Amino acid sequence: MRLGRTLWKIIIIKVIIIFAVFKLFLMPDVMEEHFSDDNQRADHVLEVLTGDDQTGQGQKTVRMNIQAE
Amino acid sequence: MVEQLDLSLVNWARAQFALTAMYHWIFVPLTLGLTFLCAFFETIYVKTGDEEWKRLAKFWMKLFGINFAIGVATGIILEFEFGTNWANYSWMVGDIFGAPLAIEGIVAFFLEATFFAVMFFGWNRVSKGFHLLSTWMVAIGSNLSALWILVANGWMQYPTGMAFNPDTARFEMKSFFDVVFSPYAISKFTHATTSGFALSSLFVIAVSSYYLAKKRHVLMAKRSIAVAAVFGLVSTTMLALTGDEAAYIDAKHQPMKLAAMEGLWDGTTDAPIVAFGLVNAMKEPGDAHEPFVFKFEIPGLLSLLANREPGSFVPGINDLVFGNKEQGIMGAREKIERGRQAVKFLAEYKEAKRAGDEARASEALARFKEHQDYLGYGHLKEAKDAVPPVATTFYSFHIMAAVGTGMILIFLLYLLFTIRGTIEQTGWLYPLGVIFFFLAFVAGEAGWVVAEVGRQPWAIQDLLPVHVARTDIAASNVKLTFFMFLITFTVLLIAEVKIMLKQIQIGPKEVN
Repeated sequence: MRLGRTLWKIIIIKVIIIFAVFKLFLMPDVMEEHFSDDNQRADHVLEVLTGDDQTGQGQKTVRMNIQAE
Repeated sequence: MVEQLDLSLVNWARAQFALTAMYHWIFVPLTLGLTFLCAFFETIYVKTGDEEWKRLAKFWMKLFGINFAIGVATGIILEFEFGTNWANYSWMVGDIFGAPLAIEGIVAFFLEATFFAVMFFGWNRVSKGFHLLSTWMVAIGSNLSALWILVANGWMQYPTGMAFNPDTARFEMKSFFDVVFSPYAISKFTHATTSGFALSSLFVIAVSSYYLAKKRHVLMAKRSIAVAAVFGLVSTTMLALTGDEAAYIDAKHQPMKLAAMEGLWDGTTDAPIVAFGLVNAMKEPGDAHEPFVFKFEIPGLLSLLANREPGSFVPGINDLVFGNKEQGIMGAREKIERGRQAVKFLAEYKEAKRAGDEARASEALARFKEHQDYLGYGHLKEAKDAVPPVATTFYSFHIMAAVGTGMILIFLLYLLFTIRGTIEQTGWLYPLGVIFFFLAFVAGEAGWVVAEVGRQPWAIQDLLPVHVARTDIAASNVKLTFFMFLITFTVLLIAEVKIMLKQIQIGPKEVN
């Protein structure tokens, strides 16, 4: 019984950390939060696919300032 | 390519994904294999009625339960990372990944969770037959969950069954069956799950060896070793066969990965396999450096492995970078030119659509489609960017293969002495069993390194490089979560090890 209780405690604490801390505060779904519809998301990704400087150095994209809350 | 430590955002995002995937892969293989072993043990109990087999089955189920409880939900963080660190990629592949990941969640939740409860809490509450069915359902359910994840990963390595929509910038699934039954999906699923079976068999062997060494629970240990040695031997044989299939597929669709795995810079007929060697870290495409400091080769074997044709040509890194007209190989240099055309016409199409110029849009779309297979190359700076880290890929592959070969020997030895009835007198073998249990983890992680480092620079082979796939966010965010995940997973791992060791020390309950 003690083992069972210990494991359940670990599961509950882990799930709380993963969903209530990591997901809620640190791991936002960027596409959902920073664009209001699919057209904007598509436009952004098309900009990434076509708008970079062709040198492979990185994106010249609209920088999304996602701060850890 | 000289592999340098680069602290840019993309590498922190890579490192974070690698960290979470590697920690996840510590828990998963034990789940995949131990469920089947528990099913075997319980099947023998039900057929024989021998309560010792029930005691044995319940003990291993307890250890499985510990691993499952601590490992469950660790994989969900990987899905969170898709949305945060790899938003562009996540958008583009949503239509492809959505179905497999949804099915994985449903299968895991309904099948596994339901029967998991019966398996653990249903002893003496349900019939023997229904309890046994539940145990088998947990085994099948957990492996089916793995299938869908590996279907998704297989698609990244060999994108198929889809079409790129230039209006939405998404890959749209055209054939579910092409995605599920792609050669990569089948190969990855069979290879990854059998690696879990082998690792779990070694776990049972290692713990049982401990009991034999301490002269505790001797009958349980001998019986466990007998079943695990057979399961392990069959699994490692399957590992070798599926590994061969994986290399054959890599030769067809990811020849650069295969070349890196073998440190093959200049393609050749009658290509040898490097059994072991020390790669020259200074070697770059097209230079005069020797590829190896030293190596020991087996002649002709790579041609056989890659093409199943003795003496056939196997391209090297230089052939794939610069091209080889004689062998009909288009080099990365030419692919980059075509990729840049794809990017250019995609941009023109986008502009034309915005301007409402349908004729120009139609022309641009037609030109884009001529080059779209090389879209990803259009984002590479130079041809050598198409080369993955060679040393990492080479050593990981050879470590994995060496340990896999050693596993076959270990299982053979345990089985041999079990058949002879002398396993209790082979104390010298027990430390080897324990060592190979830990080496199995190393091999499993090394295998994933081959698969994922070997496919660099691609997030989607040939279509999307990693640096384009990532979200443009502050590196500090990624660093913060990297270290938080590191701490969380390390705490979980320490907890698992402590709880497991304690339960192993206590041992199985006596039969009532």
